[in-house]
Amino acid sequence: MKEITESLRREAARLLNEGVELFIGYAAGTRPACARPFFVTKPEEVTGLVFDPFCVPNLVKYILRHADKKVAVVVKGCDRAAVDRLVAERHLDRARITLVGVPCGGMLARERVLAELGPNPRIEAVEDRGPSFVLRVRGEERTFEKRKFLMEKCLGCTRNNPAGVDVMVGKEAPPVADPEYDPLKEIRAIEALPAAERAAFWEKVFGRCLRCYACREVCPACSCTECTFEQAVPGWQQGATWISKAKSLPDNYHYHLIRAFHVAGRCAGCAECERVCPVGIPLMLLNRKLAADIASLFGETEEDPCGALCVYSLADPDEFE
Amino acid sequence: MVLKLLKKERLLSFLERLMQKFLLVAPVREGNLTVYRPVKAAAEVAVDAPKSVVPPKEWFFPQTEEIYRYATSKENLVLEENVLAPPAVLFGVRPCDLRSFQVLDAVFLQEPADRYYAARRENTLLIGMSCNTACPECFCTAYGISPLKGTGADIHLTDIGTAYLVEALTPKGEEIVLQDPEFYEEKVAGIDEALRAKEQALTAEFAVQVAVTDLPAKMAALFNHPYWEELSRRCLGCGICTYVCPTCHCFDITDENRGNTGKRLRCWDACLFRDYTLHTSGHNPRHALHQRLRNRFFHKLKYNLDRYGIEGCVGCGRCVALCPVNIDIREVIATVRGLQV
Repeated sequence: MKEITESLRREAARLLNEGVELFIGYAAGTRPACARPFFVTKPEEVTGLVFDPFCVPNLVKYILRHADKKVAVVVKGCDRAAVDRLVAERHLDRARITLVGVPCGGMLARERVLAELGPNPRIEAVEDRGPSFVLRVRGEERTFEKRKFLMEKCLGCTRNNPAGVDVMVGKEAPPVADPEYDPLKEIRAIEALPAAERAAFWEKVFGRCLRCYACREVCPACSCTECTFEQAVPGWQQGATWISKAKSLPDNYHYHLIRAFHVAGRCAGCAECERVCPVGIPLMLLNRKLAADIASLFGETEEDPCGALCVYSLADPDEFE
Repeated sequence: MVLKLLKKERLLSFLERLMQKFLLVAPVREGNLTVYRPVKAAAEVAVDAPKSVVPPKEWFFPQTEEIYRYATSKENLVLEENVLAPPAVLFGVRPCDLRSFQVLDAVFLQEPADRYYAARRENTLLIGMSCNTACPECFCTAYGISPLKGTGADIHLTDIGTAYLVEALTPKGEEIVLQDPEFYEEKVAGIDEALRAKEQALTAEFAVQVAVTDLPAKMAALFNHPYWEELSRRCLGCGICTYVCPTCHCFDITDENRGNTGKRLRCWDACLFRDYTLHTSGHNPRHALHQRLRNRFFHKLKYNLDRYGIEGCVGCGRCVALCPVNIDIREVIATVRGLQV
């Protein structure tokens, strides 16, 4: 991954010299197999930038915090889709943003890699060899077959070379999608369960939700400046709140289902919600199910950045009844 | 102090005996997670489970707690308070989490004591469990905590291979141990040396050795340093670090009204949330994310020590392991200590 990292640093320095005020990319984290969002404002700081299969965070949402600046942001294919939606919803001015695309060979699932390497390995280098990544650990090469070690979101990915970017770094990456991967397999298995068992499944996972709202905070489709679940009102106006501050199963259900429907058709599939959840709630089951339903009801909406559920048209043949 | 050995195969009977008198709250496995829950059978207890995601402070200070219910009519107001504090054993508490109870005690038991917390604390027997493995994110020794010592527990267990070393550290703990002498064997020689070696092996697994000397003074001088704004750039503003922190104790009180009846709830709050410290007027003294993030680190690394004489961090590493954007308190400590005042 040395070449991508080097050309990323070169492009970042060039952009910063040419008037970009903030370059958002990745730096190595303090934990092994972990990268962190990294914010560069001066050309001499670009040496901190990296790109490797641990650069999982979707950086697009950070652009929203810098509405007044000329921003360049590193995007993988899955992050890229979020930009179009934010532009279509007029949260972002595309002219102000420089998209720096990285060819992505897929992201490695950290827990599975560490299960092989031990909890605290020193990863010295990473090389993408097409069907596998090779990690050098203490001088020794360890091969990680992508089919087994990629994050689930990557197994069905057909857009690992982001389209429509302003700058592309590195060589085009070979496809990462596993032709045998079925994104609906687990969903069908749950749907096949009797209602009581299905309810028990969701009660268990939603029951442990801490309502830390990390899934919302990380989600580029959760772009409201004020969330409907976060309206601080005094006690005597409690009727006006949508959700109790109490952690209870009905409130947890309410939060997750409303959020899933709110991002339906707008979810870019970056799976950040599921990655950040501290208690392992499989949120992508909901998002993938809704995406599949939308596709079957409205056809593929990939071309329409607004998605099927966010379009208002006077020519809409359906009347409100 | 009473020192005994409990053979591993007897642990189940030991727990079952406790369950005759107490509600047993212990670590259990739920998928890949460890959670502290009241158990129905001793066999559910996950004795060797990795550290829980949500710390056991939950037992003394639940995420949501009903303080009282009320009902009003034209003539009067009826309040019904329900302090839930069954006689319980909180089992399998790690040394870092044991220390966290001392931190929480300083807050909740200062006068006037919080009676909900105090009642549960009073009615709970604490059984600690030494660590068998360390996580790379652990750094408890920075705060003088040993992963093999049960300071703060009534009874503390340490795995020594085929048996647990049982230390009864309080009169409450001694009573429990002495009531069933048939469970135990006498301590044998050579254990202390073995434990010292084990402690060294465990702390060698810590990825970073953290030093906290002079931290509060350094923090005070850096309140307005641009570092906090820089750090907050990647902060998501979620509540993970506070909700998994064994010493975080901010809460919010809300009333939930249904016509003439209602309840008053106490719920965990998080300083990273936008509405934290939002005033009724609409003013928020910590309106910017960096002010709220700074508040968290000041609370952990300075305010707690200033106010209560005990550090606000126990080095459990949960926030390090779970922050989605790698905000790492070990790095914050090192950076602050290295910054020029």
